[in-house]
Amino acid sequence: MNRSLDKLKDDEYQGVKELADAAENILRETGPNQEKGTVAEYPNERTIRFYITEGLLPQSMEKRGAASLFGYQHLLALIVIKKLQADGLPISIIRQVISGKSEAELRDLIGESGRNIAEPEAFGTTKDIESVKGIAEEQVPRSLAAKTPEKNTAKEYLEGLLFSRPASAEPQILFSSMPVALQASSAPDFRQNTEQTSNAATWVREEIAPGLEVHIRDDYKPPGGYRETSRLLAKIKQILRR
Amino acid sequence: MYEARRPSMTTKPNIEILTERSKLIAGTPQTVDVLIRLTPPDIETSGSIRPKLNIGVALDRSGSMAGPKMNQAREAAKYCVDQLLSTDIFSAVIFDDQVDVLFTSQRAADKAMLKRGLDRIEARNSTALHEGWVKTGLQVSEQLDRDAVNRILLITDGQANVGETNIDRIVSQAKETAARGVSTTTIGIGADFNEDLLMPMAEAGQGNAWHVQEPQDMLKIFETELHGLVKQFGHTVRLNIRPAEGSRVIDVVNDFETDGAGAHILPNMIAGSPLEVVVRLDVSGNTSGERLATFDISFVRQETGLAESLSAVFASEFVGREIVEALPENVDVVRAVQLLMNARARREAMSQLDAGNFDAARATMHAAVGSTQVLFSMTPSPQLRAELDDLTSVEGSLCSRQNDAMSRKQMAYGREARRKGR
Repeated sequence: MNRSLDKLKDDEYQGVKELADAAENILRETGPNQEKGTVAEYPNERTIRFYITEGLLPQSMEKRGAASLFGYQHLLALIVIKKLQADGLPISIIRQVISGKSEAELRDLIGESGRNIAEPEAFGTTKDIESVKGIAEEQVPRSLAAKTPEKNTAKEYLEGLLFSRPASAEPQILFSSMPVALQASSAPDFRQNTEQTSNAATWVREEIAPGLEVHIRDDYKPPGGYRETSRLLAKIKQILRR
Repeated sequence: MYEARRPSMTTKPNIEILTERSKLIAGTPQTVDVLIRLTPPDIETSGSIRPKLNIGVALDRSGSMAGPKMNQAREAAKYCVDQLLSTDIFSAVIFDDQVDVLFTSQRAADKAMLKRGLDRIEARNSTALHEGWVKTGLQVSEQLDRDAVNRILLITDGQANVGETNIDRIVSQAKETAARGVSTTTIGIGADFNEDLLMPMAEAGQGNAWHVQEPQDMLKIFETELHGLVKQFGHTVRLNIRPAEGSRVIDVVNDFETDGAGAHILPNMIAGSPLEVVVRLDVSGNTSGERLATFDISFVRQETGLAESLSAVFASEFVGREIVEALPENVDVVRAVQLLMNARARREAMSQLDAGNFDAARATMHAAVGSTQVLFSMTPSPQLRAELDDLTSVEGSLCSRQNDAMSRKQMAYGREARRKGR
């Protein structure tokens, strides 16, 4: 990575888009930076603007036409930010780590090719990294950290839902611990025998609450109207009060 | 040029802590309502500053949607397409007993083509709501983008009656899907859909629950939803309350759900829109200036995808009872408490309605109207006027018994709006 960075020492970037692209090229060379996709791996224009306003990145050097001009220092700082983010450090801590660092120091933070920046020596001393991580844990509530979604697992999850059968059709929830009269009506090959009469109907047992179950015959149709439903619920309530 | 403009999302959300009176009574235990007002900074929503949208519309085309409902739903979906930038992502799934992908996930570049496709949707059979939702989620997840708002908009007027129909399972799946980055908003039309499915689904899905009473309201709902999406400041918002020794939390009047760690799950933050939370605390007659409780808010900032947190400490001066009672009441606190109590009244009336106890439901709403009228006469405001209008309309409809299903929905969605300050 050092060789790639050396080549860019005198480059200038017109606008945040060019800076984002240059940083992405460098970061791609190092491969994936995080085990879980909790933050975007590569910076984009919006995040760079945010880093500038939050004081993580210095302001642009000057304007060229309408575009801001960025340089080597900006590129190095941006790579350090993304590396530290990938290690799970919040912005407030990253600001402390890179504040006032020279180009050489930022280069040191990035380290030699293949070395993980989050290793203690990259910060200078083991004590530094411990204190940094201590604050980081305090600032990111555990409940929130645990909820942060992993990298696109939504698709996999939803595909799983599409191909799984509704649990109400699962044979294992049928007939267990059923009264004898109901068990007698159950045919073992119930799924093939779909056009049964009520004498040979199948029943589903649903647990409503601990200690309360409802048994529903497969041909039962729930009431459509609100009043009928209310009457039904009132009847159930009456039974429960007995 | 955008370069010359300074991004405005530089500040953190503002937290205000307010109580009914500015001081507490010395030397005696007391209950105090603490209003926490969380206001995210306003942002410009024009141009490239607004978050990218990745919207999947799941549209019910079952037979009951025929006529004005379908016309309005089509127009609303087309309005949605019109509001998208060419860099946004759009997909659409239509469902009855069969589920079809109308548009796979794609950039909203050729709007005319997308709108022509939406125009061809016709109402048909029964309602495979679950599969329609899952397939829309799949389209949205195809181009899941952590910098974008990735959302399913589920539009239906009916009940899930084909495929998976178990409410608990569907709600749990909406929660899991939201945890993986795809949120769900539900839009129920008319009087026949199941609010006990659509509202928890949106709550668990980290989106919004809307009720369209009349088809012509559909467009307004879409406007509000899209406005919220482009101004979304933060999501995964949690409130942790840390009472000091001698203090005790007895109630969070908004009745927010809690997560596994016991934190209260707050709605997404909308730039410039305050969210008000009322926490009821028992405090002892403490020493002035000492901390009584700390409120920790954590959230994920939409713009950066980064977790942030902020805290506010509640402390108060303790003085004699006469002095406290002579202090003016903070009308904001009194109003916030009244609106949340009305939300609870709506919930109670719904339970009474479900049990067939119509007189009790009417009495509950009548009491809410009475106390709100008293407050309105002392501190009139457009917000309280709107609240009174809604309460009296529900009370009237409970008296007439013309449409109990619609009365229930009006109460359910009214409660939701008050609880979340919308």
